[in-house]
Amino acid sequence: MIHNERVRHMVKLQAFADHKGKEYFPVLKYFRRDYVGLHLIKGFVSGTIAYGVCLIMWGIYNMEELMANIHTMDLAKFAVDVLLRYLAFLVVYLIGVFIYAENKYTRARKKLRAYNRHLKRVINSFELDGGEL
Amino acid sequence: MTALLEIKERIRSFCGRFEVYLVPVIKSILAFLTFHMIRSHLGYMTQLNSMTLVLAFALACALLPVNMIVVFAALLVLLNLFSLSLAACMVSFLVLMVLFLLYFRFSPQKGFYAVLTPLAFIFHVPYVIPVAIGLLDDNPVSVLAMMSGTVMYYLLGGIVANDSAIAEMLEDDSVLTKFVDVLNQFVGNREMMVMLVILTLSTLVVWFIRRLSVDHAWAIAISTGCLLQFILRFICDMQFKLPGSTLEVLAGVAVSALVGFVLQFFFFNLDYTRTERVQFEDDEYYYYVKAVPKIYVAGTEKKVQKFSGDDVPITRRDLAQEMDIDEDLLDF
Repeated sequence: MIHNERVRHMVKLQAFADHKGKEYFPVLKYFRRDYVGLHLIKGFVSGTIAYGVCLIMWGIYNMEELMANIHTMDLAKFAVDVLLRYLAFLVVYLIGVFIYAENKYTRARKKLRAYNRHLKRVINSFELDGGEL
Repeated sequence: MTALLEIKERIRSFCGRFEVYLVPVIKSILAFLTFHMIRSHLGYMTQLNSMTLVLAFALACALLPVNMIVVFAALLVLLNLFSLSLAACMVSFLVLMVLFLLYFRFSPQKGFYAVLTPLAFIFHVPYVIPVAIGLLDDNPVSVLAMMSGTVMYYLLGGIVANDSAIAEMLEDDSVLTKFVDVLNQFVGNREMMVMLVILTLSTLVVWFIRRLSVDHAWAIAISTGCLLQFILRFICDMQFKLPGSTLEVLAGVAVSALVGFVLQFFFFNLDYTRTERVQFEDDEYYYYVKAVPKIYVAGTEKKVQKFSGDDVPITRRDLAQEMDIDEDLLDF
């Protein structure tokens, strides 16, 4: 006989696995600190590359001016300026990454808790019927 | 109203039943619109300029993840721009790369917003996107996808508007000079900056208000978002003398309000007159719960009562089975 309540929970489990599982299941393979740390490392790499690309574009855009003033400009001051801007950008970007990763981990735990609740009910209903999973 | 609610329920049940087919169809329509727009606005490479190819790409996207639309669109754009000018292709590639690096970290599943936003701009209704994202998305980070779409629209718009100048390669022009020319279409584009600020701000405002626990939160969010968009755009128009008429902005905002209310009807149709407030407690917390019932009309089920029909003759075996007796007992 079809166990309506069990089917309802199983449908919910499958729907979650199909729609949100891809996003949330991998998150909980990590501890919170590891997950956030991994995101920060990835963020650091992608942020650095993005800043580098922007710097190249800025360099090409201002090539004429740079070439004209290269003999007179203070190169050390210029390098420090570029570095400070890079650090400021990276700090802002990594704060964003940190907030995002923290929130995502919290959200994933909440969703997975609901998922586990349905899973427990399915297991219980099997056990009540004397069956095994 | 009841008729509308019945139609809504029918649409919902139809979508539920045929989701397996509807999702690929919607994906391929979105992909077709995107590739067709690229073809008609940026069709510089004749080899890519055929409708068959666009259809083939769109059909392929039906079976692939939604983000593949973004990948195919980026490829088509870059190839077309390569045909126009190497510098245009390089600038677009670098801008795409920066957007990809900074944005895909946050909302990789919401890539389709980056495609929908330029489409909305082409159809003169960009104000629909913030309202839709603010209402439907759980995560305001999706705003980054919308920003990427906006940046790409203005970059490509600038290139298309000056394509003859960009394509012309004079003798003393180097690739670098062209690179600067292309970047000039993009850097200091006041309209782009204004639209980025307006769209981002209104998305966040709509998202924030619709999550509040106040009556008619969605309606308030839609109205506030639309009003904010109109006022900001109007002020910026006056300040920076931007192209486009006030009437066009007004029409765009009106369409966005209409779309917002349609979305509300489908996804958040509540009956505030029957709001209930309950309080209860457990060992750790005291709960103040506000429960607002959804407006729901059950579809009328048609029951067909048959008064006459073909008589199906009952066999000995069926009768015996029904009575749970041996067939031989019926021999009398």
